[in-house]
Amino acid sequence: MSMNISCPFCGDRPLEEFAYGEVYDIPESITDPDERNLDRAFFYNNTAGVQREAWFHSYGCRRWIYIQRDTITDRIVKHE
Amino acid sequence: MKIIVDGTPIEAEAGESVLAAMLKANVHPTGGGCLCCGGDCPHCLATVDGVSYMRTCQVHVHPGQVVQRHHYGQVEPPMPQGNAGSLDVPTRHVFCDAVIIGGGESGQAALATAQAAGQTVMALDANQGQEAIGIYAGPMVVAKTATEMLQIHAKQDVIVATGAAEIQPVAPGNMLAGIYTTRAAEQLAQQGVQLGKVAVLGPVPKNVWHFPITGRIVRFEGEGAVSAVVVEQDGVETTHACDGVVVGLGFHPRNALARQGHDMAQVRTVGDAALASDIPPCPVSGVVCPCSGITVDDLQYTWDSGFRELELVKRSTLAGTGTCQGSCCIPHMRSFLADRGKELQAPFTARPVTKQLTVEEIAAGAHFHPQAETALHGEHIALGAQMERSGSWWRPWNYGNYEAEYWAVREAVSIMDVSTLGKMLLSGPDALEFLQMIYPTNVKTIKPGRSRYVLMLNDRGYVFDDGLIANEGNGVYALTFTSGGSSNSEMFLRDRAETFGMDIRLVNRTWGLSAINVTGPLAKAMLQKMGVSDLPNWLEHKHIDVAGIACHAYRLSFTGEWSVELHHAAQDSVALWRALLAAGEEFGIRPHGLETLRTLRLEKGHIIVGPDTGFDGTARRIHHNWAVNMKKPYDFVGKAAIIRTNKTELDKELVGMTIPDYTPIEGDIAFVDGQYAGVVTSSAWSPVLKKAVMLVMLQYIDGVLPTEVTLSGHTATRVDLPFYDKESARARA
Amino acid sequence: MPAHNHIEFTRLIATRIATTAAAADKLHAPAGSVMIRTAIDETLIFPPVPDISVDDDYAIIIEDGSYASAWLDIDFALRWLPYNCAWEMPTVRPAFAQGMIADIATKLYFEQERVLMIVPAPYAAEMAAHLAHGGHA
Ligand SMILES: [Zn+2]
Repeated sequence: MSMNISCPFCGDRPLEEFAYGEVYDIPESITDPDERNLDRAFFYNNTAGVQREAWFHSYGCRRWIYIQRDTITDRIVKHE
Repeated sequence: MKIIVDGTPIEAEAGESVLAAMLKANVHPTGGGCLCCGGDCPHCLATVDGVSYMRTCQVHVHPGQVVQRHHYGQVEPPMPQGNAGSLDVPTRHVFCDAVIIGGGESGQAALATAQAAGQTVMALDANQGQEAIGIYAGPMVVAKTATEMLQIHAKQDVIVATGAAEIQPVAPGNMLAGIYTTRAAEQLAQQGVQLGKVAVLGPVPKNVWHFPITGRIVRFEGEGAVSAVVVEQDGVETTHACDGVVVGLGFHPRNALARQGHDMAQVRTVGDAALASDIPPCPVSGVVCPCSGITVDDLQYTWDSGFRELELVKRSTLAGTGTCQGSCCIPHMRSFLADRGKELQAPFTARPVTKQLTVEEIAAGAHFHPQAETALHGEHIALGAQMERSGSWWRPWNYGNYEAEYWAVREAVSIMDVSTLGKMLLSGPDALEFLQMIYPTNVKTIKPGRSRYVLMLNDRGYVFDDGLIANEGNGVYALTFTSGGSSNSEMFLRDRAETFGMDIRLVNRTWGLSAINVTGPLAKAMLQKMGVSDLPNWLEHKHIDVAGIACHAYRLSFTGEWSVELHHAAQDSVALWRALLAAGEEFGIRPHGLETLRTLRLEKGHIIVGPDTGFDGTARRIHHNWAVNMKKPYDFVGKAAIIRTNKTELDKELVGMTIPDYTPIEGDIAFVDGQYAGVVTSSAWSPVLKKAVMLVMLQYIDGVLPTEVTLSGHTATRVDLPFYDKESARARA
Repeated sequence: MPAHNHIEFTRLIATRIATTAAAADKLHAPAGSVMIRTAIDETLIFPPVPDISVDDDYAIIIEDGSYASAWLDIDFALRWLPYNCAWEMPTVRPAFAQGMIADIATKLYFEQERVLMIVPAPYAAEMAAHLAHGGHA
């Protein structure tokens, strides 16, 4: 309830205005470029810590914005 | 005045609490437990005027008040119900620099400091009717007042100045009536409650008939109410006969609100709410958590099971998860774990709400999901349509006569409002390159004036939407999507444009463009009679005028009959709809709704992405390999996944099946020899074929696709798709 | 809780321009028209200016009726909004702001004495009902 995301275009808005989009974090153990490209579809890390996320501002400008969120504390550590 | 307690009227005096009135009538709200009169314990909870879990020490009496007791350890109280007339509780959003919770000394001091610093401040004082309910992420403080709920967005500080609570006694018999904290004894005496002659351990309450005792409480004795207390000092136990016991065991911070927001830097405690807690001696026996009925034995069992962390002991026992959110149990649980673990652990987190709310107060500020109306909504209503929620839209299910609508499409002419389709316009230097990366078809072969049905695949190669690409010439493309999929598809397109670094322009014009599908064997004649001579050919699209209205006309067919989809400005939609109905009158026109469309497209074997594809519908599984061009020189979205998954054996396939005399429901399970064999994804009675037709996601069994399955006791037989008009002679006519 | 039961939304016919951020920065609306930047690469101008020149060969310039709008008296708006909106309103005038209001994607164009409320046309009936009701439900 009322965690805010700051849209660089529209300003501070409640989380409910945004739709979540994954930014795939592919395990480093996969090194082959083709495999990395493919494995973002089927395997990716479930990060405990800071991860990059894309959020779509559905109720405002309808564009993607990017943030870094700590999944342990559920706090946004950076707006990109 | 009189109030009603468990159906019996009792005497009450204006200005006193419900608790005081009940105690004077010799009724303990929950049957027992140490009363605190500070709103910190669960021992005075009752349902008051339909709202359960009310702290009766905090509620003033009024004539005719209805109180129902919960009784400790008994069945759940009734669901909370608000008073008639309070159904509409509004929520008001407030923006400020600081929120100060608590109107006591420390709260007032914090208020003065904040104001001196020039902060805009919202001060919440429960005594003034502003009760803080919880602190949520943000931080946002939710509070209730007599008339509305407040959601207070604090930009800088949330200051919790809620004072301290008194520590409860834990010993055998601590759930008996007649036990009070020092402050409770004083307050009850002040309200005229006769406590009798009480034994006082610790500070002496004013104006209470008492005698002092010292030592550690070993147990409380009595039947229902305390008649004696046993204390131990220097190894000697002494029994004191008494009418009640007043305990002063120290204080701990009243900080449930702060413990809700403990990991937010903006949330701070001040005054007594920030004091270090007194820690009572390690409890030996008795109820530790009265809300959940957790005893010292229960804690010991949990300890013996290997739990060491206070947060985990809470989750394991459920101690601290009730109404008081740890106010009673935390000091004792900390003492218990410190005794065994030799370390004093921090108090556990708390959860909203800290005060009981009515259902209306909880629901305040929530909205029903808004439902969209097409420009033709009023026309549908006027024609008697039964409207249906379909995705985010209101859509006509039928206009009262499904059979007649169906046959109008099959034998005459019909129109349908398809304005809900997703519609976008794309241009830009990389437009074609972008489409080649997005869609599994070779977009380059779609010439200006032509259009093509396309699938949309995700990275896993699963179909998540379908639609149309129409080449408008000059590097501009008109794209359509499903009614439910346009928002998702816009997200997808914008995401991939950024990921691929494509220079494009994209406009989602779903809300501004309406669309009417004109279909049926007489549709063409009707349009020609309206003066439309330049209709596009099959799979072509053209900009033409119909009834003087500019239309983008697409020749395609989802109904299986001759069709043209007329896209036009939403503001022209009513005029076009009416002109078509008027012109069609002599041809027997009737509009049709979703019910008819769903049957028609099923007879033609057309899928609906979602119901028929599920979450893992690859082109292979849904028989759409023809829509995926693996040879085109682009690594389009999903291609890598298709290459990989195509190496595995096909495990299930979307197939057509029929039953002569029974229509299964969608979602029905198919069996072969009693074994699961698949699920019905679409099903309808076919008026033209006079049998049930269905799509089934059918499993391969031992490498073979079954030819017959059992559905709710009926035999379904696999047939080739489509069920009707296999040569598509009708659609392309 | 403030309510207003005779606010009527009418379809807002505008020129809608999708272009590069740089080209959008250079756009000028003719006097008497309102120009709002709804996204970094999208602009709405009303009443429509079909012959506007845009410094981008690939710009999409369409006449668009995707939205419906209604003027609200500023005093009413500022009393009603806190009951229906979880974000803070701009204080400068004129100002443009957009976000969720009563669960509907809404755009607001603030003038000194009034506010133009712009909603997706398909949701205009819902928003009118919210305005008539005052809040929630
Ligand atoms: Zn935005």
